[in-house]
Amino acid sequence: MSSSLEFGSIFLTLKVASVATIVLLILGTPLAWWMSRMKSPLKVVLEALVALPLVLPPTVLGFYLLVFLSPKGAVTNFLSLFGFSGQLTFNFTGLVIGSVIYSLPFTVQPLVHAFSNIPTNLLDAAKTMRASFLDRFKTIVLPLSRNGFLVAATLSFAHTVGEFGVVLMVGGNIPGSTRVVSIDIYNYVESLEYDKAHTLSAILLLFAITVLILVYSMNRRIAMKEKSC
Amino acid sequence: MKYILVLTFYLILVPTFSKTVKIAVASNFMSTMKFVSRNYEQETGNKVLISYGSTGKLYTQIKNGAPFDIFFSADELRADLLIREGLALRDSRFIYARGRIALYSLDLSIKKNAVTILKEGKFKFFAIANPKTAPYGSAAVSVLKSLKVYKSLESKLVFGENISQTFQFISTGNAALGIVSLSQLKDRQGSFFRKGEYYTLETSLHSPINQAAVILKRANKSVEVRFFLNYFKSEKVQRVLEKFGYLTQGKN
Repeated sequence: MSSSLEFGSIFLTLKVASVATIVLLILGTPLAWWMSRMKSPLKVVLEALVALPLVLPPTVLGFYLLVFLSPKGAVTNFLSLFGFSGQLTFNFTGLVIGSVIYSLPFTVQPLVHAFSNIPTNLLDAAKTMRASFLDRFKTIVLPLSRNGFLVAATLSFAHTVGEFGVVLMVGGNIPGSTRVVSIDIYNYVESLEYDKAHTLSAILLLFAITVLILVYSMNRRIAMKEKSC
Repeated sequence: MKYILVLTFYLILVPTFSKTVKIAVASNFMSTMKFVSRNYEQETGNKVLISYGSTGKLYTQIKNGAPFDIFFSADELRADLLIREGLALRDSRFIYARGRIALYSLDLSIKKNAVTILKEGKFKFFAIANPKTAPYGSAAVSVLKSLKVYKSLESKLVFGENISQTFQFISTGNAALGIVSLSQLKDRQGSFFRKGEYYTLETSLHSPINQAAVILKRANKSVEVRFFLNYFKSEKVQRVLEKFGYLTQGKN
């Protein structure tokens, strides 16, 4: 396989991870906000559901996705009610859906944590000044949970880059279309092309370390700021 | 606390003393080997520990010191590599089975019109195992080439990591059809995936899928290992293999 294809898989991986992270932030923010303000016992159930992808083996998750997203699957049937026709697996859409579910806890958990730390009386005070919900969210919640968002975004992005089992299952390993870096590496190891596997692995390793250092330095900055307050 | 310690030692030590044969088996042969080893255990009282995986993965594990006695590869290449690297015994090598492949689909009537369906190509995805890593995948590619449909189908191909995943792609309806191993289809009785039809492909359409087995160096003097292999080569077991859709040495 030519070296240009290797970089194709890197580009594809970054594309999947970026789109998945954006979708996750759009879906995860209201969900996390709702969970952070929740007082009913239902919260525990939600927390468990969100954490599920951490516990389930990716192949199990991938297999369920394969069943539900198949041309005759429940999700596809549901979408066809709204005029959707087409296939959700073996293409970019399938990769993004898989990644969103797989990385959900990495978005929601840091956000819930950040939102929970926002003092309620601050929001109440703003409410008495007739600030709309959107106003309050923009001027109080967002600035106070900025670091939470940064952590959520970086972790979700990085976790999606590193995923393997789910994308192998719903993606179908199609070169240039669904073959991401981790699958590329796996293929090289399987076909005994260890040198190529090494090169790609080294790139991925470097990337992972950079991201983690970034996240931890952000965490440290937050901790130091909190101390100085 | 004392009991926990005793139990731990028991669990650690017992497997090393009992007459256990540890084998590494390519995933396509999984259900067949399960069946054979269950019979073996019942008939002899000896134990068999089976590890499954793709041939490439098992090979890498063995190379890095995995404690197996026999390696049932899905091809000849990895078995031969282990011999060349001094990790397996040369004289122990034998072809334990020849794989057969079949077209499989949930909805298309491939039993009657297999070739027409392939030529018309009126479907979205065609699943095969990754030809780069799975012998059943490269056999599938050579069938498509023999039938002169590879070029027209190339853009529709999706690749399973191994033959099991390829089967799942088709049995869940995500790929309209594809090529899997005959043994998977023979093994479906009573399983969740009973639907669909299959069409057995002539062995003349592809190069033979010779699956080789070798005894690994660490089991050099093991009596149990030889005993198990003798059982495996017996007429009765060979009939089982044929029932599961493999060709054996006797019938070619």
